[in-house]
Amino acid sequence: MDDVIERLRAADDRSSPPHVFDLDTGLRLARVRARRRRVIQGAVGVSTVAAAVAVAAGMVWPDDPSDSAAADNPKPEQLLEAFTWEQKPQDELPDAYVGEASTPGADELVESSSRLVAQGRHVDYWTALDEAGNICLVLYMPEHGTGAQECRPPAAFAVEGVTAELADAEGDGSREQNSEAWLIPDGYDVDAISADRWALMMPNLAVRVPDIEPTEVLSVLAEPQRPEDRMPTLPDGREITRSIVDSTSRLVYRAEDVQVWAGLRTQEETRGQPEICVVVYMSHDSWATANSCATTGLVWDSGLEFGLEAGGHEFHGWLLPDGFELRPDETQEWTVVAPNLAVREPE
Amino acid sequence: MRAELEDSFTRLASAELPRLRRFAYGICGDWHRADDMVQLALKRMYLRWPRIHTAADPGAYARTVVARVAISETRRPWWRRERISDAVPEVAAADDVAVAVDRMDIAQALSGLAPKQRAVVVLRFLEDRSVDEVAEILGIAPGTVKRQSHDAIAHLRRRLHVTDHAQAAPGVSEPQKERDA
Repeated sequence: MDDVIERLRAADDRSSPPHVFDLDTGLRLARVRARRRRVIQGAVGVSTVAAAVAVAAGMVWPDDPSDSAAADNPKPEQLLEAFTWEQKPQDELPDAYVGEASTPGADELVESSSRLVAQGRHVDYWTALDEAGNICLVLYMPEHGTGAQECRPPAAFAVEGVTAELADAEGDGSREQNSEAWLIPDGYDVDAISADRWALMMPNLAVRVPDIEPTEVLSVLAEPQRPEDRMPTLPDGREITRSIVDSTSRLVYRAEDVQVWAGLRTQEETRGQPEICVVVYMSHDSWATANSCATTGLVWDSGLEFGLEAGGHEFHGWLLPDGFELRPDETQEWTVVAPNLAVREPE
Repeated sequence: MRAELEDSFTRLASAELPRLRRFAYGICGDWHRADDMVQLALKRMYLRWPRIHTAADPGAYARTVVARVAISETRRPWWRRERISDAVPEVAAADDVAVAVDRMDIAQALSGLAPKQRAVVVLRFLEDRSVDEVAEILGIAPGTVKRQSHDAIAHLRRRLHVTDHAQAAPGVSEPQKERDA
């Protein structure tokens, strides 16, 4: 081990930055940040400040049982399981939200309360408490550096959750520039959310998706079914899956040991919204199969990633909607192998 | 912030800066990104300085911020930052390999390790911090630090072609042995 460390130390000695770090500017920015923070805190009422100090110092939820007003409010952790999770590094809010409110006049978010509830291809979604004890939904689009947040008091959140919308004013309404999300309390009747184009992305998060037909997302679904589009029976005689309507399956990729189909999920298994499924069948020394489904609008937005690991082999695929272009950074990891499929090499 | 606190922060930041930059660079492999993370760490540390200035090792807090930011970013699906080439020559020409290894900087040497493992290696072996200190900084269990250290060193032994001559045939590198096996 000493030899390894010796080489590491030598490599460390050879590591020198190509430019000077401007510490003076760094300190100046930190001071500006601190002043802005004080201004925001000073604008909040005295009683709220007292609560905020308690929250910030003790990292406790702002609902003292002795407070009669708070007694009417359910605790945040009773409304969202995410608040019971231990905070992990990925739960931390982007820097734009730390130490100040992104919305002028809004309360500052409590850093220790933030939890990442979902990640989309373009947008990350957090929940957090603000210093007034409201439950917030935070959206952030890292590629554009833009974000949005909305907060509701716990009592109101318990009834209807909270929605937030992120839209680029100069955007063209494409996938990359808009997101409308709905943070849903635990126990909410999720069967009711499919109305008005909401689609459940995670147990507590729905996103607004376009009203779009599966054949507009995958034109191959509109083509006549060929013999090879029909999924074969497994070697043990069973069907590969019963989740897909037989007549809708279409072969989208075939390699020596792997076949991938797309199709529509049977109606009785959906919540009123058509779902696109992808099925993978892998046959090496033995065989294995898996399927994954998502609401059509979600597939239009982000495609559908899936994976299968069995017998020492693995296959990771990404079903791509028509006209879907991978970003340059994504093409480093994914290879488009068919009009509607990209694959990733095992790590 | 009071003048004496300002002074103490400036002194700490100046003293920690070189090592902190190299720590960040070792994790992310990009000097510009490393400096972004260091800037963020200094800013957060400044905001908390009135509370943490009496801590035994205030620099540990800055490392916690840097490590969290780096690890957090790599877990996001959209995070596809260009990776450092993992292209140590595969040929078994021992002399060439030695030359290549001898030219590596720390980020190149650590490429192929996960960000958390990189952080563990830098803190544990380059900053000579104890297992408990590393665990505290990274917010993980001491046992995890030990395991990550062991795995990382095993990987680096293969990657840096540090061969155990009692087991390896002369002139055959570890990767070559693995391929042969």
